[in-house]
Amino acid sequence: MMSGYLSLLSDIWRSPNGRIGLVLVIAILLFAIFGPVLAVNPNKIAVPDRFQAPSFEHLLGTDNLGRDLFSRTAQGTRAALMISLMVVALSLLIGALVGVAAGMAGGWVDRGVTAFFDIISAYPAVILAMGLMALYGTGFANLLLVVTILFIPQFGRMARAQTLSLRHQPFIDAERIIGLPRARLIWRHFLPNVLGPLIVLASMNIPVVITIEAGLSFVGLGVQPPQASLGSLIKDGYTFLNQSWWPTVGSAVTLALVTLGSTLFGEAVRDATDPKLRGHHK
Amino acid sequence: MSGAAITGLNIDFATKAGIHHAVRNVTLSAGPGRILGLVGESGSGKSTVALALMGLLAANARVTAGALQLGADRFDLAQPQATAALRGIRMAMIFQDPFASLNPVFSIRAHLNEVLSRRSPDVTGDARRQTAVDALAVVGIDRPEVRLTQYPHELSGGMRQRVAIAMALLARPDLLIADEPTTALDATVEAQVMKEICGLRDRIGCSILLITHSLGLVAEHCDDIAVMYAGELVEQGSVKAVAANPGHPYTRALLACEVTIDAARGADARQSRFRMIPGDLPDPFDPPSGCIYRTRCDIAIADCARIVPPPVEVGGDAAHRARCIRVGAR
Amino acid sequence: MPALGRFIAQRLAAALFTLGGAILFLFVIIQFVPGDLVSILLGPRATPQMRAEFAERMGLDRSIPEQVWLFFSRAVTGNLGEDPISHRSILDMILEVMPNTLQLAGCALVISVFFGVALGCIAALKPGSVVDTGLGVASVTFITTPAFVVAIFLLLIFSLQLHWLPVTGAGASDDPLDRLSHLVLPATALSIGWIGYLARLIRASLLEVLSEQHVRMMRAYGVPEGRIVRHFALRLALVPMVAVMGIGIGDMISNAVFVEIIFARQGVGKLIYDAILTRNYPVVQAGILFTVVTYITCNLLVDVLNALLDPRIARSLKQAA
Repeated sequence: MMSGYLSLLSDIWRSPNGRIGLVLVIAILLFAIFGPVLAVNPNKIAVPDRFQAPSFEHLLGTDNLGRDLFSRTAQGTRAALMISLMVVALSLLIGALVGVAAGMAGGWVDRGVTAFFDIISAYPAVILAMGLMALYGTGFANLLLVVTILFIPQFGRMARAQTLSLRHQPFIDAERIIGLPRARLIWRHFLPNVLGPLIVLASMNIPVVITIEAGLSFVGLGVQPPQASLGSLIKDGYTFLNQSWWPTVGSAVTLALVTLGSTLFGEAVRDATDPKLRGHHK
Repeated sequence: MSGAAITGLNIDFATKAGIHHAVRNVTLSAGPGRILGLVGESGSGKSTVALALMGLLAANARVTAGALQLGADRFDLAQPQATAALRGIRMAMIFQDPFASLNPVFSIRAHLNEVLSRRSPDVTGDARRQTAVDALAVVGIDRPEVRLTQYPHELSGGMRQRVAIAMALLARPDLLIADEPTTALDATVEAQVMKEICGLRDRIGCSILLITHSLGLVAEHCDDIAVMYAGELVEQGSVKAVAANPGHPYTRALLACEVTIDAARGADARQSRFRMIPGDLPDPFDPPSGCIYRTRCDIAIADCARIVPPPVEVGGDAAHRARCIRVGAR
Repeated sequence: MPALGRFIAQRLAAALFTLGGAILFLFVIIQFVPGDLVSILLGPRATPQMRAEFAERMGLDRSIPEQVWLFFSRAVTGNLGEDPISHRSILDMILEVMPNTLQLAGCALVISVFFGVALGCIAALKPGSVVDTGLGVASVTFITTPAFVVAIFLLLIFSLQLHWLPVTGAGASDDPLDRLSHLVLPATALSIGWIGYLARLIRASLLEVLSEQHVRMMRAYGVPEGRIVRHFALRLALVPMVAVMGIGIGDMISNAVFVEIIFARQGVGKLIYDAILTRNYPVVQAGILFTVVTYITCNLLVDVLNALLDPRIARSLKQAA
């Protein structure tokens, strides 16, 4: 199993984009994990020190309340990564279960589930998220739930499609004839085959979730203060753009690098696991 | 219409492993109104010859020498755009995969019009439409007026190949190259499509270069045959002469490989196993010295390694030549 | 073209069905909001009299199916309610700012398609060249940077630092040049991501088409290379682009909200945002409804356009010997 992961990594290293992605992802992870630990307390307000340019003491400068931007940006990065991983994992699981169930059940259940997916997808993502957060109130749990709902249709549709194509495979019929109970059938045969492409989809979606969370935080409907989010940092910077543009630039560049890194990495993972492309690397 | 002749064609491919001399000194001719079957295994270079004539070779290919004589005109194939002006006017081509020959977002009419606008620019409007309809009818497509407005995905493989033949008909070329036109079709459709291709020869009197790996097809439809092996031409002559008296051991072996069907019993009861030619094609970057075929030949002698065999007349027929120093030996 | 007509009718029915579902969904969401429905919808500013009126108008005393019917019929006839603060028709409010958003989106669409296709073609016609690799790097950067980040950078550099272009607003309504200068930065911000995406898509698509046998066939008949690329290959290569546009419009609508906020353009997006800030839920609800209708309509148009461009979609396969 370890060798599988190692060969995956070496495949990713081989493409130039993948290399950049991997480097960025590692840098981001280090920043997110160790940043807040090494730096100054991110919530420490010191108004006289506001709007300082980067210095040895404040690596990324200070914001409008004199808080250290390095640690706040690290905190925001951490939040972005945590939220995106949780959302993606949750929506993958729920989407997979619902999708497989719909594919297996057929009939009205299937039609109902598909209609549900279509309705969610009928809304532009951010608009729906903003509306739901505005109506149901902000808060970490709500944020997770709302953004997860946005992504369930994607995973659900893919799981359903995979299930439908697997259903008619001879080996499934064989197992059923032997008398394997349905639940075992799903657990043993369907889920493993369905999970593969879903995980690739998940890795491609991480940057999308990060962007949505940043956008929501930008308009004040995401991560709430005093917790830092890359989006809210950008918003704070934007509000005081005339006084100092440093807070904006620092967090905006970080957000861009985070999305760039995760996208490149996600694409490299997709290309490396694509059976059609595997031949090229050998 | 006065026939096509290719002399001294040499084509090199530049690859990562070095220069591959894919086609070496090929000389063949298709008489006016005659069908020449060019046969060979995959990798023998037959398709490459066709593409070189049309000037459609890949970027890493180069014609180092060779000429095409079309009627009274001579073209130096080593010049990059030598035959570009002939395309669609004096030369036409039918490709192997009928499902990929037509652009899916353009109607049949658009395809035919493109040929007509280049070949007969003075025919326009209604006359052009009628010409297109007639061409479709001639190649055996039903309801041609309706088919004209349809798109490729609405036609079967056999019909699409007929459209390709109609396009060739409209181009009225001196030389038609058909690159394995029926390989992707099943047997009954193959017969119909071959009938139309030969029909072209009757209608416009062009020479046809039929590239195929099927000897059966050659036996049934072609006037002359040319056999290629690993980039070299090993035998050429009329189908009758070569079938009756193959001069080159490779040709002999190929003919022996054909499974005959005993009509009375529905299968060949005498042949209990399949004949094969043992061995593989030679390494393209390290060909054997002398005769290219000697490593698989059943009558090779020591001299075969020293001499590159020149074309030798077979059975007193000047048009029948084989490149073997032991023509006639068993 | 009866096949095309059938296809359009089919898609129209599906779109209406989805729209119905979306409206129902909106209704359901509102019902489940914790707390007193009337307070939520009218906000904290409502007087008891307003609340009574509102409750009656909303039919809150009637049965659920009747409420659903009321909601639907009002939505369909365009009655989006009344703004509790200004007492203006919300529909009027939306229609007033819609031109700004339409201009922004339209401009962004045109820019994206033009530059995306152009850059994609250039890259495809010279694969492996410096231009191609450069465009590849640029397109990844464009695609991944969120639109609002791009907007802020553009604002920072071109407005605040260089003073080349105006900072906020949509410009005077009667001066087209002024409006144009106010459009440049927001439209660019909105289209950047798309330019990168389309360039990549067209590059891959065109490269694939150029390697196909029908292109060789056209060359074999002497069609000049320029005509092959411009007329035959491009038409086929553009097909996947239209299919992809449907989703893209949703992204564009979402991003338009941010861009309008950053550049302080009065548009539908900013309207919704301001309403969220002031807890003006009737406007929020109406705004979302409007957005959904627009999105579904655009998707329908994209589907139809797709069918027009690609004959394989609407016409069924008829096999003949």
